[in-house]
Amino acid sequence: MRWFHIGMRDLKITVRDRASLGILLVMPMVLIIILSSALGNLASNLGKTPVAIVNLDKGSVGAQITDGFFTDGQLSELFLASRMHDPEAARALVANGDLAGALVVPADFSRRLNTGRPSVLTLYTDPGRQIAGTVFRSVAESLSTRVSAASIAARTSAYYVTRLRVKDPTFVGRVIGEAVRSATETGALTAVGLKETTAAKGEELSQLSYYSGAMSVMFLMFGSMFGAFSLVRERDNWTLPRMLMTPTPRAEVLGGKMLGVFLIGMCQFAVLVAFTSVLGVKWGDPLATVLVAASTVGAATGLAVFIAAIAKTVRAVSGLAQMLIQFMAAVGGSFVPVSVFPAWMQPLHYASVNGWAIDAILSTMRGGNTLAVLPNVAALLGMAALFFTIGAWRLRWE
Amino acid sequence: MSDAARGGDLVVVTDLAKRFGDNAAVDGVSFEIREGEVFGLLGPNGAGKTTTISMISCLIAPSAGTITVGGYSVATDAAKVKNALGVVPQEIALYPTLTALENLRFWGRMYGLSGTLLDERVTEALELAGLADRAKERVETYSGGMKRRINIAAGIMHRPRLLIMDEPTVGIDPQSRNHILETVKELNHRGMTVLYTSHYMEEVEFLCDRVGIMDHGRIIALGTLDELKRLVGDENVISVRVADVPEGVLDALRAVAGVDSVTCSAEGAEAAAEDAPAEGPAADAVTTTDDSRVIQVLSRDSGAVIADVVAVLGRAGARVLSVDVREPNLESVFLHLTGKSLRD
Repeated sequence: MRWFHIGMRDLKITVRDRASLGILLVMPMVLIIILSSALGNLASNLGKTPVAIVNLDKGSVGAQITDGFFTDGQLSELFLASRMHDPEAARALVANGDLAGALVVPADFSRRLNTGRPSVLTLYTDPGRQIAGTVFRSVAESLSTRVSAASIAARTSAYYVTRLRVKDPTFVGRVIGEAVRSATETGALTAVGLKETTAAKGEELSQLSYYSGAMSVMFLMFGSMFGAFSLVRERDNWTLPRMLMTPTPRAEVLGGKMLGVFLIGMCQFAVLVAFTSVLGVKWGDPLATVLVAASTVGAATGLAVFIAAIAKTVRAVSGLAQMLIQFMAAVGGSFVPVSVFPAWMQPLHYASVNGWAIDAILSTMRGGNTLAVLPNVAALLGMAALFFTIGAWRLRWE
Repeated sequence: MSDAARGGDLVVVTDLAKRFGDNAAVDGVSFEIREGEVFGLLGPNGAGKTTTISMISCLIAPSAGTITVGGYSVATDAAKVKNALGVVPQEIALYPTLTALENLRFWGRMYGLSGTLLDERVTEALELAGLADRAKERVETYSGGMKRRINIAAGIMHRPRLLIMDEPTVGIDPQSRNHILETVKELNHRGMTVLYTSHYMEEVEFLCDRVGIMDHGRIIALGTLDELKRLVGDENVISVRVADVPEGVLDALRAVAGVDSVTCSAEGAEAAAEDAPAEGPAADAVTTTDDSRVIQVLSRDSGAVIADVVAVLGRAGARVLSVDVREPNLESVFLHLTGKSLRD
């Protein structure tokens, strides 16, 4: 039980240290409020929005609609479009948050329009990306309206020229214009309908929710820096060597130090969850949230041992920890959502604790259960084991 | 238990060595510590005292040699050795934002104490440290001397057979220094064997039954105080504090008839003026903070030589601040054996 007393002692020391509390608790609270208020909309608008275009139409109308996403200069500025052939796969990517939306053109689209029958475009959107979704929806609506108008024009023209044999092109043009204007005014441009489906699994997330998760994870990682500080300071202040001169085994001393970092991290997370819950954030399934928190804090604890082993002095700990933590925060989505990164950069978030942790937290916030976050929990525990193994192997005790 | 332990030796150190790269911090050290005695390791900073006790305390592994404590090998029975040890490191190895009570309870638990026994031992240690009335104050608010006393208290709660104290009086006020020295006497009186390291020869003379003098990682002399002083014979030390040392004056002193050896050391950096004890066993251990230097002259005929020494200094232009003649002591033993001062 000596490890328990070592861990509890570290927790007590941290609780009494106002500077540590300021960094571990007050800073994330302030940043959650500032970032969610000031950067929320900006974050949603950064970069091109990734969407999928699924054109199943055998005729030419579907191609006329969808080609614009790849050839039109304005649309190319807004969207990073990719062609897909499986509507279900596209929906799954939107559901996973990999895409902001998907537009599906049905197989009989041209045939139905050409025979005067209405058709429906399907739109999948992610409620977690409100602004990107709105833009995508507007473009799709505009396209469906244009195709409907073209359909009316074609049918009007065919009626006057073929059936009534009118040969005056000016007259035919005026009649077509009248027909389209009338259809627009009466809301009868319904040749092409738009059916929107939210592809994400659960609730829409606010920017406050996003940054509550993102900042909490980042400052849990800063907790690992304090853990590394504690190990190096104890070595320098001779309390660590003194512990080793007592009958307490080294494994128990290290276990106690890790327990301290873990307890501090869990307390920190609990306070931040309580604080943001008061602000209205819904963290979702409690068990899933606790699992994600424990595995994230576990990874931070392993990182603390790793940093203490690599850095020999308090100053070196500070430098190395800040470099690692800020890199992981940046690529893992703590500052801005990973979805706004260029495509080549997005996979980097799998290399960071933050990426796996934020992904899991957002999943629970959207209604995901324990099963949904298990892959992330496994990845975080794997990182914890890797950091700890290297750290324990390289740790200098005296 | 080993034969040595049954014969009264609690600690047996044989051919102990520790190398850090090319540097031999400890180089073939052998000595025994008898059950119930206060054994002193005396030597200047860097002599290898702390490395030696770090190996006895199972903190670092020897490069060569063996150590047994109570018959148990440090190499193979570290857990049993640690149970027999109480270690007071040179540094204040405490948690400054915890109270003295919290610190002692923590360290007591590290030695396996719990429950009522822990409470009793903590109370006892606080009383021994003379800080029972300030037990609930944070250690960071204590003076240096009070921290030192709690530092010692943290190492004795489990009543170790061997208490290892590494320079426990560095940088503290005279009252605390005397309190610590009296505490060591008291602990030894209760039956605790003590290994005491210091570079203050007065403390070692006051406390220790036997002394090992270390220099450059080796034991250069070992024995009781009387045995060690006999190494010097009837040489006295003439200690002259001067404001400056003109060039060539040391050679001029060596040429004086009756002078056996001459050394010169800076005195300024050793200890703060506030540390200077008014009286008592530690008084001589303290030096001044000015830039003066101390010339030490060994002579078997100090009475005849002293006038010539002062005259030579005067002719060389040295400003003499004080002159002191001492009978053989550990300082003169060290000077005799190494040709340098303990505080060089």
